Amino acid sequence: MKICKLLFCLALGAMLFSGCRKETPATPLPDEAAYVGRLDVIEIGDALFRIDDLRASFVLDAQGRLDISMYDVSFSSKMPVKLSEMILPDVPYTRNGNTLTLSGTDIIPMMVMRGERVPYDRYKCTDLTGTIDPERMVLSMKLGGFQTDYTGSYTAAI
Amino acid sequence: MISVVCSLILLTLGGHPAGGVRDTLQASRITADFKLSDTLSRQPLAFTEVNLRRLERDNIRSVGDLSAVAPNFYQPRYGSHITSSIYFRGFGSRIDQPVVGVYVDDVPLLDKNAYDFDFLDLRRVQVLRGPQGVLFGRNTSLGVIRLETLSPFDWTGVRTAVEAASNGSWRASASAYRRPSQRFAWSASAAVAREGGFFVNEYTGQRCDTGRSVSLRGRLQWRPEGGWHLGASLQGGWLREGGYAYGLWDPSSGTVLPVKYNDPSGYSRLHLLEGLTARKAWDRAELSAALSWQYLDDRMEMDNDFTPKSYFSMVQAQREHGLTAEVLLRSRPGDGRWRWLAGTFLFGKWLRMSAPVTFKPDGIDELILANANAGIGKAFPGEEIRIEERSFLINSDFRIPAAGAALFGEAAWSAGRWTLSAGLRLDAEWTAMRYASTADIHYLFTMVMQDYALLATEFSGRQRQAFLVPLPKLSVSYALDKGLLYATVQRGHKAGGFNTQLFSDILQNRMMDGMMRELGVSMGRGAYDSAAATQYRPESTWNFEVGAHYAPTANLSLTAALFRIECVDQQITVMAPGMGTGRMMSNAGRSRSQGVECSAVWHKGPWDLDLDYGYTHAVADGRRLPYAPANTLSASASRRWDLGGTWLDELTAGTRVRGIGRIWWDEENTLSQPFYALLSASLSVRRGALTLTLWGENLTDTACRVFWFRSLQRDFFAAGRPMQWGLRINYNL
Repeated sequence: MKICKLLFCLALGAMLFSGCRKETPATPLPDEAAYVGRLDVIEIGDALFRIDDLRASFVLDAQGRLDISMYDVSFSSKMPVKLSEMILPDVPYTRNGNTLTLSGTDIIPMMVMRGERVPYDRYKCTDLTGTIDPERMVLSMKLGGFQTDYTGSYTAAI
Repeated sequence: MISVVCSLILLTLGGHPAGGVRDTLQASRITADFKLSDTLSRQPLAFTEVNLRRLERDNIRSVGDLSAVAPNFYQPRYGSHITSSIYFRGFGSRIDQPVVGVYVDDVPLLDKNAYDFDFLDLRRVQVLRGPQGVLFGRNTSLGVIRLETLSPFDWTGVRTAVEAASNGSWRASASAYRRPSQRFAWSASAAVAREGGFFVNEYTGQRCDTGRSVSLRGRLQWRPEGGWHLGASLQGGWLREGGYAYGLWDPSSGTVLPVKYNDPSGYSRLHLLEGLTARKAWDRAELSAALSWQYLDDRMEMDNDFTPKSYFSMVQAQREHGLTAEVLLRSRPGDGRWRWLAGTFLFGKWLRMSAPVTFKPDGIDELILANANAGIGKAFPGEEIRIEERSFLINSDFRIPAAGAALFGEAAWSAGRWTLSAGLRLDAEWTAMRYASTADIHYLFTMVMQDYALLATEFSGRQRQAFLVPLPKLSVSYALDKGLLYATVQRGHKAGGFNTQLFSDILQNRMMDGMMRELGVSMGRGAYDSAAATQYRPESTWNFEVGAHYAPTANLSLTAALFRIECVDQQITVMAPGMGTGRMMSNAGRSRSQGVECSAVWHKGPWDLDLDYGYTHAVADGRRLPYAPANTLSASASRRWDLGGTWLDELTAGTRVRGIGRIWWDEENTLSQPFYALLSASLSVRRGALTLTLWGENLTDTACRVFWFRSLQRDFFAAGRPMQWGLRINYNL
């Protein structure tokens, strides 16, 4: 009898506890967002080129095309200029709830020059993989043949 | 003008002054001083005083000629008359605010561009060494030079002179001093000169440092009833000259190449100084007042690269009005123990300046496009930026008003042989700069553009500064039977200001950044903080000094001083951090200077001997401060023979040695000018009112370098003047 009472109290407590826990609804993925994080590039001789606090963003247009941008970016310690904005256009992806899973290759980056997009063949993007969710952007790719990885945390809407 | 001068001479010769005073000029004692309560030998300060005789005997014709005559004082002669780079006890400045104030008849010259002028009938020159902030205020952190012109109350007559020199220079002057009554006197002076120059610009085949000048001065003095002394003076000077005899250092041969630059360079200036003074003495106090209006209109143009290539040239044209007003009340010398002084000083000046810089083909190609395409070419192989213009203008216009007010006072208490004095000045100053710089070019980037596009760049705004500076002074002195011992502590102040010479460099940076921004790239350079770079802070010094004045006999006077100066926020000239084509004043950390100065003056019978020596050890971060010499030496001797008057009345022979050095040129102390000495001599014969003088400067033709600077990674030197001799005829009635 005592055991039955104990089991009944435990079951009642579990029901009450599960009833008190709040259900947190998932943050929806917006159509555009900005991230800030670290960019790592493996240069010739396995030297590491790193930029901390690199700003990146994505935009999903009305047709569902995904553009990923990086700002004030260079990809080598020997690169004498920084690109104000470099765009990976029309990146292939699949969507699962609030997460975009990226996969693509042979993507020609675009630079924004005098308000127009200009292809930057020198840094063609291959073997792109990664994920984008409301909290993080993670990218892994080769730019111009050099392994490039980016991890950024959500910062603000554009 | 010549007819006016001749008329004045004729008028003078035709009349006789009532009760005319003929002063020897050599031995008269100066009794009344605007600010100092006693003769200099009884003051607790280091000083050099040069009277008319020595000024003429030693060919001291400008502030720069006082170099070494005043120990540790050095003003190199280079560039043009706009270049008044004065160094004193290790400190100095090449641009903007000076470390030494210059006063003419108790009126301060507000602009350093007016410091370098030819003396005309000066009665005496006083150089007060060390900070003089309490009595003389701003920009006297290392000293004051006081020029006193000849007064018609002290001397009457006519002075004329003509002179010719071996390099083609000549000079003519005429002055009249009249005293029509016991209460009224006037004087008028005029001088014209041509400078023949010394250095040939090999590009043009002509001497580059020739010039012409005219100087005028008029003075009225009136002593009405009631003990008032009133004075009015107007002096003006105009000059036009070449200059900038800078030779490029060739490291491969280890020599300085001849002067050779292609763009016109020169300087012209009109300066006017109107002064009104008033003095009134009562039994126990004396009131002095001085008002002035000053006008400066000058224009400098310069081949900024000093080479036959066409990089860039600049023009700096400015027009400035200035007003000063000073009132001072002090106790009269008496038997009491106390002496006191109190005063106020006001000034205002309004400067309009235009400083356009023209970039020329080589400058566009090598300074702008080469830098831009070095980065662009690596990022985008085969592509380049082009600029359509083969020359373009960077316009810079400035309006710089400044105003200030000061209250000052000094008190001295004597007990027996001891005197303790303390002084304080409160200096308040406000200044602003309204600036506007613009440049338009058309550029093309081959990768994405078919046609040239306009890039319009602008940098405009306003900056302000305000300062409130206390300048204290404390001194103690002990009177000897024939001299004085003293110890002094005082603070000096050099005003802050704005880096107007930096603006073309700022605009070049903005132009490049703007172009790159339009192209979607950046050069990755560090941020050039344009607004902050346009200002520099005041410089502050503390001077600790002990010294002595001693006159063991009536013919001999000796002075000596030991000093130590601590400087905070020293203003130093550096190259601009951006494109490196501009100069700016920046504030360094701490620096210090210490040294010794001594002088001996001996006059006996026909002999005059003057000896002045100064040593300075001035360092910052363990390195010698550049441009200031470690040693200065001046030794002059003259002897006069009375010849009895058959053919000649008098023969005077004199010689002088002036030594300067070692001078370190750069902050790293890798370049220097060793100590050098220049020998001068003169031989004068006099018959009545006529004197003939044969003189020679640098008689050993000693070669030396008096200035160095670095521009566009190249070193340039200015050479000292070679040997020169001349003949002067004076006719004084």
